[in-house]
Amino acid sequence: MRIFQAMKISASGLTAERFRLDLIASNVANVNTTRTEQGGPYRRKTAVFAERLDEASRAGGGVRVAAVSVDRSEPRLVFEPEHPDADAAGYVAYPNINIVQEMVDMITATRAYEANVTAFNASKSMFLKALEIGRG
Amino acid sequence: MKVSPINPFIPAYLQRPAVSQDLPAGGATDFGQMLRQALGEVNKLQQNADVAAKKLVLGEAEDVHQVMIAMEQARLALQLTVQVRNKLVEAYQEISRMQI
Repeated sequence: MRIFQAMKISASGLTAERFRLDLIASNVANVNTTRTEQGGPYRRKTAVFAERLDEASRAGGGVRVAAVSVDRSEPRLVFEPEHPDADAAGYVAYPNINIVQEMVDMITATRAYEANVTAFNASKSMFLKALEIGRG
Repeated sequence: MKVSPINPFIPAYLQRPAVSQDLPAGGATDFGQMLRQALGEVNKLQQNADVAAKKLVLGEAEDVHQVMIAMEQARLALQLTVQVRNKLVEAYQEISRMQI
């Protein structure tokens, strides 16, 4: 039903923000990971969002996750010669994750999620207000 | 003595349902059909909510918000249906109270 378009858009935003939080959780969990499938340390992951098109609606269809981008910046080198993954000079490549930045991203993801819930509730109360037309 | 028939109170052109002639054949604007279609959509939303709740209980749901949204949409659609019904009943009672 077209009357639920705003709710559909809010739902897409909720899904996108939840996915972003998944990636942040993965980044935080892997902050000390030195081994991955591709070899080398874990690399920070971020979500790339794209607008979702909807032919039926001029307001569009919300947002979708277009890709997961991998941060290619240099890994953090720590001198730990006794570590099994240390290189010849005794340095271990740790993931390029800054935990403070991840925390800030987590807050923005949480707040964006809340904003989408607020937008959803606003469209719901508009719907309920419309049902009151002609009453009383 | 010849009794003349009572003249129809309502003009003849109003007695005929005007809808059947003016609209193209096969149009979906028949009120009953429209109502049935709307009810079908409401029913579909209710079933969606049922499926979503079942998935949540079974631990298969991907997102909690999808479940909540499905249930909320079902609730709102049902409220809309109830309002439409109220209007219909109101109109019917208005007519049935009419003095003849």
